[in-house]
Amino acid sequence: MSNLCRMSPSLVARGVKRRLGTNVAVDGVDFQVGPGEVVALLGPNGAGKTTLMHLFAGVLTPDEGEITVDGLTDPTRPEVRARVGFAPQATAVYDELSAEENLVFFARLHGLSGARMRDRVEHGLRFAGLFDRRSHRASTFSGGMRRRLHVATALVHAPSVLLLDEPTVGVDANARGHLLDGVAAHRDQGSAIVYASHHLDEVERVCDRAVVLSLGRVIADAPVADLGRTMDLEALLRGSGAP
Amino acid sequence: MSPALTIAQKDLRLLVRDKGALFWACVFPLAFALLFGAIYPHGASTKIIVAASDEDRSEASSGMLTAAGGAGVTFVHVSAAEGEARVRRGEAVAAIRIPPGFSQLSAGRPIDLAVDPSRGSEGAYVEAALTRGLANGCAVPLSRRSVAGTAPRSGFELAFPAAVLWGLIGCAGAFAAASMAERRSGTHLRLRAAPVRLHTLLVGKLIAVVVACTVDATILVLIARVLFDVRIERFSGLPLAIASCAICFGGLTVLLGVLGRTEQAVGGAAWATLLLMAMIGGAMVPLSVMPEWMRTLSSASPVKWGIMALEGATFRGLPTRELLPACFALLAFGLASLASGAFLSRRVA
Repeated sequence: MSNLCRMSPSLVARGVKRRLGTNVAVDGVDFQVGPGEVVALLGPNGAGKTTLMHLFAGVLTPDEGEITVDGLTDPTRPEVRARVGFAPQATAVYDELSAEENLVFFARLHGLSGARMRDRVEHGLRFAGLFDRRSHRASTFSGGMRRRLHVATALVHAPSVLLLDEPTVGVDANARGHLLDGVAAHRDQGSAIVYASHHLDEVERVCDRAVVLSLGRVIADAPVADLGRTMDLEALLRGSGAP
Repeated sequence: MSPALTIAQKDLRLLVRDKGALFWACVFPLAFALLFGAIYPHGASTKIIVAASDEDRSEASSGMLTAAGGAGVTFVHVSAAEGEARVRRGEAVAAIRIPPGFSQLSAGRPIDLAVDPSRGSEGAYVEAALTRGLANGCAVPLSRRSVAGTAPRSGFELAFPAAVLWGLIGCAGAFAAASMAERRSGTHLRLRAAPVRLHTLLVGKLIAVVVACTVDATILVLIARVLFDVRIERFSGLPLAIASCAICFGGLTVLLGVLGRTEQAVGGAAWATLLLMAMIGGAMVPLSVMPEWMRTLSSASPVKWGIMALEGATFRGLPTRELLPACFALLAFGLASLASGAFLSRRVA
């Protein structure tokens, strides 16, 4: 864990509750992540991880409770969203745009321009390992390359909070290592990162702390190493583990 | 660059790179114009052919035909048998037989009018024209005047306004499909998580559709002018007509993009709505051959007003004030659709 995370937390959720139809998808969740900290969000399918990510990203609003980003309330406000980078579960890039055009689009959408934008776009291309193929359309990339570009577009504006929802799905082992190194580098630069994953090895490699969700509630919040001693995380991630 | 323009630029870039979308926006309308421009005879689609057998051969009978023959009815003089044969072959709307003794009204027999039952509205038009001719009689000479520019000089002048509307339908369909693809791929979620308000997203998409429709319509009109000698009688009215059409279809696209919860639902609803508008609006079958009830119904389709505005600015040469009703109708459709789309988008979000 970086010393940065001892500063005031970048992302805080207090008593957050959200219903989807008749189901309570997120039920009174308290959560926080500080600058320079990577927190894993673990839980079986249907635990509420993605709904919680959407609440953090400002795509959904909580029915109860409060979420703050860098001390600012209500992530649905554009000025709060500007501080958040969100890579959802599905690979969300424009296939008919080149790697560079995708990054430029998301950079401009976050208000970047001029030299700052060019620097960040180049950084994103290098992060994704696509600098030499920057003018190629995303439709010509492999699944892993598209996935890396997807993550790069989420951090192109250097957000203080980065939300990664299963970022390594469909990525081969080499590319996964490259991507995890990039996540660690962002942590070291002071980003607060929420990392949802089903891969325990990734969680152990890159995350400082893990928050375990079950049926929309937090059932554990501890350093990853400690959690491994008290819970059968493998079984939990397969969806068969008892909390 | 503002977020709305960034979104518009991205959407336009995606449209240009989508070969399928380009086909529907440019190639299909051109193919439509070529096919229907060749099918529509040179201006004859506005004429109604009537086979006339004048067995009276008097000044009264020829005067009556002259009086009835205005406003698009053309008499072809043949024998009575040949006249009915032409109606049966579909070469004439009706056959008229003026019996001997027509000029002596007290002794004359009634005029025999045989109408093709499948062309009822044109038959009614012929009947009205004959009634007018009978009322005027031959004693009152008719003073006829041709209004310049109101009749199409070629089939292409009739076909191209409809073709432009097909291009706009193609653009709207392509953008609705792109909106669906964004939902499916997750990029829509990324846009919603971006630091822009919902109305900025909608404005960005609206700008993209309006620009694409304007460029598409302008290209098609230029092709019509340069390659097919379609007249543009009102250069001042043409930008107004094109802009009104573009804004109308921009608003429609925003609405179509939220008509349904799934990609399939949106796609089905978008194309069904656009095709229905085309069908009743005169982009498939010209308004001039539609029955009266369908012409009335066609006012509910922006396609009709688009065709009227474009015809008015091209071969009809209507002054701007006469284009305004059609342009206002288009703007009203566009703004109402945009407001409904914005409302539904907010609810979906």
